[in-house]
Amino acid sequence: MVQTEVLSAIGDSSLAVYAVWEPILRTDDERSSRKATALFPDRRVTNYWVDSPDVGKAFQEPIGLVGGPAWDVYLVYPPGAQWTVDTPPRPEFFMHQLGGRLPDDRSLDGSKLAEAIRKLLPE
Amino acid sequence: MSVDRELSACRGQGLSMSSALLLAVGLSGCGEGSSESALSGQWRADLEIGDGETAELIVDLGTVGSRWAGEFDLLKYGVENYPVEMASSGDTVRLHLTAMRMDFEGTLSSDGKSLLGTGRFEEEEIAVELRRVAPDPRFSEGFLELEAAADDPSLVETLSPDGTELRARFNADISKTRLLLLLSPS
Repeated sequence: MVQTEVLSAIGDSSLAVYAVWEPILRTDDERSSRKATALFPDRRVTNYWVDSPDVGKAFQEPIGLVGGPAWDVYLVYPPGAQWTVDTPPRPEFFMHQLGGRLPDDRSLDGSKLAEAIRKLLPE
Repeated sequence: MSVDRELSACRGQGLSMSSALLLAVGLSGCGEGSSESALSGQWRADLEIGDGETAELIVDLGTVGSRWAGEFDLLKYGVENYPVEMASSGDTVRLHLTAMRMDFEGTLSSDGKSLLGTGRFEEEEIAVELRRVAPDPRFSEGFLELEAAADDPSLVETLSPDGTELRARFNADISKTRLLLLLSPS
């Protein structure tokens, strides 16, 4: 959905994308993260593997998530946003696929995510 | 109808992200037993799904390069090329079918033509007989491509636990709009 409805739909080179693959499920490891890069065949995407839940935990507070590291979440930041302290910045917009752990109206919807990104693209 | 329920559940969770492409991991945790090579091939089973209906499970096990790998299909539910984990110890073979969240434990028949055992879901058990229908696995092209990708370290950068590298990149791209995805690779 993200590739087809967001990345393919927004060709703008002023969009940077970071895919952080985390160890959430029992089969998650670096090899599986390399395979998962096939989900986003887009030059703007930088793929990372982190062998720790700490990055996901760091993003709990910015999106108001409790009870576990943030994963299956999609955060959008405008130009100018900086990550200056240990806690990452609060996103301008986010969506998720975490069921009842975050607001239902933020459940991942490709068209809504694309719309939010377009609004934040630099002029 | 546990198969129905499990597949419905997994579609609503991790699979929803990954269904656009085939995510398959190599077999992990292969045991020390000597039976791995004896398990190579394509295996099929008819799973009871209730109301007298069955769903065909197809499991391919074998080596890709120097590694053991496995994938499974459950076409009735639109599930194709999902990874299988395997472990063996002596005559006992254990398979974990990701996405279905099914654990199979069984033994290889003396003629090597079947794996007889039990499939366990969260709350239920079903008898499963996997029959070897081909001596070699029939891995899909997509599965093999992903196995090759798994051996390519250039595809992902490794982050420190505190995300230092991500933070540096995020700030370096300050003039851009940024989309950050936090995901499970499976």
